Amino acid sequence: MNEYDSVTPPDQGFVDVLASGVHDTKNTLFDALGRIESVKRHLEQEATPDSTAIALLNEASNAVERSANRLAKILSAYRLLRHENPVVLLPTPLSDLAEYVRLRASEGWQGSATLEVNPAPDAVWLMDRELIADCLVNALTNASRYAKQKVSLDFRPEADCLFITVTDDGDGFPASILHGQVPFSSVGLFIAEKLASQHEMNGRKGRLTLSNRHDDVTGAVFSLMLP
Amino acid sequence: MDLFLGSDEIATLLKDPEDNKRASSTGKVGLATYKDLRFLVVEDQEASRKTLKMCIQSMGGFSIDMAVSHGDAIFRIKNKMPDIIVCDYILGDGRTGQQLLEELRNGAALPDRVVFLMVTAERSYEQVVSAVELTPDDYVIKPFSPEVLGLRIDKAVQKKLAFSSYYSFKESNLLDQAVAELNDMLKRPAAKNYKYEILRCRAETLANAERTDDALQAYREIIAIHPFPWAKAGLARMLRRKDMLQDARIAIDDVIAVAPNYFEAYDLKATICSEMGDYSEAQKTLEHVAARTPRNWSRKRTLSTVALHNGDFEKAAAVMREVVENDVVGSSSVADCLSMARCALAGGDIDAAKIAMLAVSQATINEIEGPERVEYECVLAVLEGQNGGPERFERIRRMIADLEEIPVQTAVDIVRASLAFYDRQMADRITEKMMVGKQVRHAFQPLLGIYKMHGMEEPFRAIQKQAAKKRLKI
Repeated sequence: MNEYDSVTPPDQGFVDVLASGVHDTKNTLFDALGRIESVKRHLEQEATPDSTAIALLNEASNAVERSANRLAKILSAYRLLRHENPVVLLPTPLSDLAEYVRLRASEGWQGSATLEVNPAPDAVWLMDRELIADCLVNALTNASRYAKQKVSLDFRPEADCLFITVTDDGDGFPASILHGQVPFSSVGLFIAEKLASQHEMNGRKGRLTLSNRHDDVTGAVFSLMLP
Repeated sequence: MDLFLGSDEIATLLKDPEDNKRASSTGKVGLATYKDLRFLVVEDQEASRKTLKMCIQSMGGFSIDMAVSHGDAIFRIKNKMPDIIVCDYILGDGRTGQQLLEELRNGAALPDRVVFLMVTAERSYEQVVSAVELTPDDYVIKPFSPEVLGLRIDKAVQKKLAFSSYYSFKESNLLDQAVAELNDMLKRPAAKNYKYEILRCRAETLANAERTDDALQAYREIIAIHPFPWAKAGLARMLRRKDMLQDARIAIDDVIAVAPNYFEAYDLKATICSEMGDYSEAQKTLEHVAARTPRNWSRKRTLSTVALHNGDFEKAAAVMREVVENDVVGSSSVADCLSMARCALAGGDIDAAKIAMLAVSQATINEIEGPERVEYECVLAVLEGQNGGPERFERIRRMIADLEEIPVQTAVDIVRASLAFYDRQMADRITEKMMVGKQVRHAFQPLLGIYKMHGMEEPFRAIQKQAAKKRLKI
């Protein structure tokens, strides 16, 4: 037996302390973000705005926002693992969800690709609107980093299931992710997979499927199935 | 004068066909509309209040009132009804936006057509979305952009517009027409997005219209689609109305299992258990929820009554003392004085019972009538003993003859007084009436307790046996 075999995993109390620290740090970062934005607005309103200072503040703002979002995701994953965040299934009109996701994704849109949200059918689905929206915004933002021209979001009810698909025209997922060699290594994908499986109706669970396009262009396909 | 905008007025704001078209196709209600609506922002943090005000102004909102606390919000709402309330979940002093919403809706102080939007931080999100019955029209999670807030308000206003005819019928108490309107809405393609809301309103309206069988069926149909806790709670209420107490108890237990923070479900469970005669479980249930809602004095009053019927006199008295000491507003009511006196009587402390009864003012005594009057006279007669008690008891006999129905508590007080003045005939007659009636399980334990106090368990059992035979014949 080597020394590593005797190492026990950290106890739950310690993990809780870490999570609490992550939570406080995330909130502090969001607070700092608000203050940076205030200073930026103040500078912008001056008679001769200091463009260099504003550019630096923009960079600081982006860095803080990315860090805060990253911590928020880690916290969500922790809660999902501990089943602290049971999903609350509420009736959600698909057209409402589509509009909400489009709006939120547009706010943090990166890269030059365009975002296309195809009209959602007139239907109401039972889901945790906020968690599903977070998950889709995350998927769209990720796709925007790899897409060449377009990222699209589609809603397709089929029998008793709803398929929500994020498609891009980038190089597609690496084989290691598709073949499960690196199962949901990203926090975002991990959360999406857990979230989908917590949507349960009449004994059927939701699921996340990752694939690559097989049509005339390459690209990644992120598909959530909700019962 | 009615200060808030009625459905017609809101609809008028959308009379421009282009606006209507835009509203239905894009969900945007439009700047012209928000300019004419009254907003109320409820938020204890100044910086957040300013941010919310700026967001609303960017949507075209012009008339924006601000409330800094729960109490301030109640005052402003009563003074000038807003069209749209944007309320933070945390309001300071241990108050929440959910409590504000419940207080307004329970007190019928918030018309259906007023939008109530909850603003919540991520950590309170689950509490907001897991509210079971009195839910906000929508919610938004911080941090959010003005556009996201605008979208949520747009959607909530659109829903109010879609339900405006239903609200009008409901407010005029034309409940059958209200149900008919909802049935029509279910057929309209434009109302497809509100399917579950329509089904819920329909079931609740049927229940309010005393169409219990229809409401029961409506709730069952909803549960067949998905076991929403609110539908299960509605089902439990309808089953209770039909005296199907065992089924009602199973339904409400299901609600508590999935919505442990829905405190009204515990109240309903305690009521059902009491009516089933299971005072022990009723007391346990109320103790559990009262520990989590220590300042809900109404719930503690019920706990005291249930503990008294359960034979736990000490608990009953301790809880009532706590209520009277803390709930300054309602503590001099006749009901409270009677409860205090009953607890003291059960514990054999006649002096404490007399002191409790002295707290009722003559003006209040003159106003009480019906069963409560009989209860008051009965308790007082017992306390007066032979000094005036018999004379009072004669008056009570005449009052009892006038009662159409005798509630369980009244029956218990009458039997206690009857046995105190050696009127076995009256005590047995009232007891038999309760034992053959549908309140038999509810009344059994407290009446048995009174007979036991007089060393008369045997005669009570004999009445119970005879009554059981009678019930079986029926």
